[in-house]
Amino acid sequence: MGRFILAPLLALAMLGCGILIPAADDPAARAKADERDLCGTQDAATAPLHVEKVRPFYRTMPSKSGHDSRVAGAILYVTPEPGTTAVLLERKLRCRAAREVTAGTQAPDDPFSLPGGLPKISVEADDARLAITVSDDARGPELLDRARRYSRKFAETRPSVW
Amino acid sequence: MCIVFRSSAVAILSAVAAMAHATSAGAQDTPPPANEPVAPPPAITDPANTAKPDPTPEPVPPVGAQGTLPSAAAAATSDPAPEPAAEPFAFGDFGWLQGNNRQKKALLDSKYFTGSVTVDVNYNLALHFPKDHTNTGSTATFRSNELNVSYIEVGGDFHYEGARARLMLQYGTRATGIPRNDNTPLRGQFDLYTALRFVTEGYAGYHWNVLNGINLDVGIFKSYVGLLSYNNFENWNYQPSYTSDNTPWFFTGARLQIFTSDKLKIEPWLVNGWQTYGMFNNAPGVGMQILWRPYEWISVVANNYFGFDTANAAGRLRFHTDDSVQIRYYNAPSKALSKGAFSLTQDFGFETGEGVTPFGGSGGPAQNFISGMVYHRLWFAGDKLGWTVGGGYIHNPGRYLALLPSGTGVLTQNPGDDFDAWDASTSLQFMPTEYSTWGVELVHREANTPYFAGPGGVTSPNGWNAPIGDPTNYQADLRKQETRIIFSHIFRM
Repeated sequence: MGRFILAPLLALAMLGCGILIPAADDPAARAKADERDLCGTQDAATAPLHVEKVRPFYRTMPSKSGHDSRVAGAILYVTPEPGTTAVLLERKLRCRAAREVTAGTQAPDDPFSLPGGLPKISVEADDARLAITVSDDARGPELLDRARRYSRKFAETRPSVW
Repeated sequence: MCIVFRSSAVAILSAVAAMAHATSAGAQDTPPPANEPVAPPPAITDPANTAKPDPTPEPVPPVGAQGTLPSAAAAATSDPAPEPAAEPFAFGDFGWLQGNNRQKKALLDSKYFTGSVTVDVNYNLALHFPKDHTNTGSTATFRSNELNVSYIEVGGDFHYEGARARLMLQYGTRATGIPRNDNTPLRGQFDLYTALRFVTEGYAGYHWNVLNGINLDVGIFKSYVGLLSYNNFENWNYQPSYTSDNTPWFFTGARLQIFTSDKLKIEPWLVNGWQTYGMFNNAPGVGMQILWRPYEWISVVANNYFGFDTANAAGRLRFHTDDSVQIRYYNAPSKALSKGAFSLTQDFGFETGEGVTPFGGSGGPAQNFISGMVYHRLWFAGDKLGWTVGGGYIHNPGRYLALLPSGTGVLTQNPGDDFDAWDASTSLQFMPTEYSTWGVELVHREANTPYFAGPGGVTSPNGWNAPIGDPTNYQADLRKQETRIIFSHIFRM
């Protein structure tokens, strides 16, 4: 009896693989949703972004040796402009990243966007600073590299970046 | 007893659920409240043409209910200071490795607790169709021709400042199949099998921020000998070759993990014995692992062990070395063929003293272990499909590491008994998400002595234990070869 179930089971397994592969992540669709939900129509003065330091953002996974850590992005510690809150800055950064994706205009050293991707951005209060976490589980080292280049550029020129 | 175990599992699951809820409450996928004034999207301008910012930062206005910082951010909230040493092996994605977790994100992560749940079920179709549905000579499959819950693991890591602990509980056939290979609970009183068979890992530890990190863990922890992971979710294939199957899955003792850089780990062990809860004799086993990952595409590991692991032979020394190299030779994530890699493992060991010698001679017959295995894997469709081909061999005179089949005396383990075997397998894994693996695997194994369960099974003439079956004068039906097809589904979160 068992012998006769083998072939159908194998066929089902092979067929299932092809049918059940989920759709890939679509940054453009996420960008459109973010643009719709987060971007307003008002014009407001942009604020400079004072980058104090950049640290790797790690994700930790259980493993047989205890745990594995992986760089999943970067944390940028910034001194905010007066009146800037974590909520407001997060909205601005996410909106801007979404617009860059839809417009296809991503700067090379911009840690808040990725060519062909849309990093996750969250901002939290950290004492007198704001901590901006940018992450992409598949492209973390690339994001960290961009964040460090961005920070170095800021350190060299102390510019108003927006 | 069952009530105690069930209560433990319920408590762990409740904690996991609570932590997951707390974590997801701060997730960034939820947009900030829409009642904030919305500024226009800032544009990065040419730094050379922009004015310098006010050098005097002003205090940050209150930000209201912002939730908590991500755990990683919280760990790095101190004032500007020298950048802390990099986390070990975090510079690359080592999810491609045989025996490594491929997941990129722990969903049950929080500041104090990282939970983990694995459910591993299989249908092990043995083409000998043994009448007692029993599989022999394997630590991955224990039943055949029926659906089997092989492995349920529930638990997680507790971490606060430097203190850390791990508790992983296991259920399923592995909870009975693995401990049976340990005879140390037969020494003395108090039932170590019952006390510990449901604990895959339970240790208390401490982490020091020295070098790139130093950890000391004491308790039961998983072994690295044999490359493949005890949790099959982390493996390229389901049925490991002998090199992995016949070497330890766990140790009881202490380990000191010293990360001298983010690319090198040196880890000495002081353990009760070779996959044991207790101690066979009067001296602990000692060992060491050296793990080196200089680049993302290569991993080299060496494990060495010395111990006295033979009952009633306190002077018999066991030595074992297990060495592996893994290389990812191709990596094109956006292509249909997304990755290619292979692993190569070679083991060598022996026992000496009390009537045996490593290679035979006047001191007694040879008692050694020489084995190897090689696996090759290709990934397709964005790493959602994996195809592995591999196998290995074992030469183990004295059979001191052979997994003896059930049935009294059907396979002896005396000095001089020879055992040579080989295996080959091919497996296809479908990984629709990071948290699910479906597998189908064809494995063929052969040995120079009857070793694998035949149609007559290894239990009794009708395949049943008493009182339905009567094993009196029954001789297990063992064959020199077997072919099996293993269907599996593993969930891990």
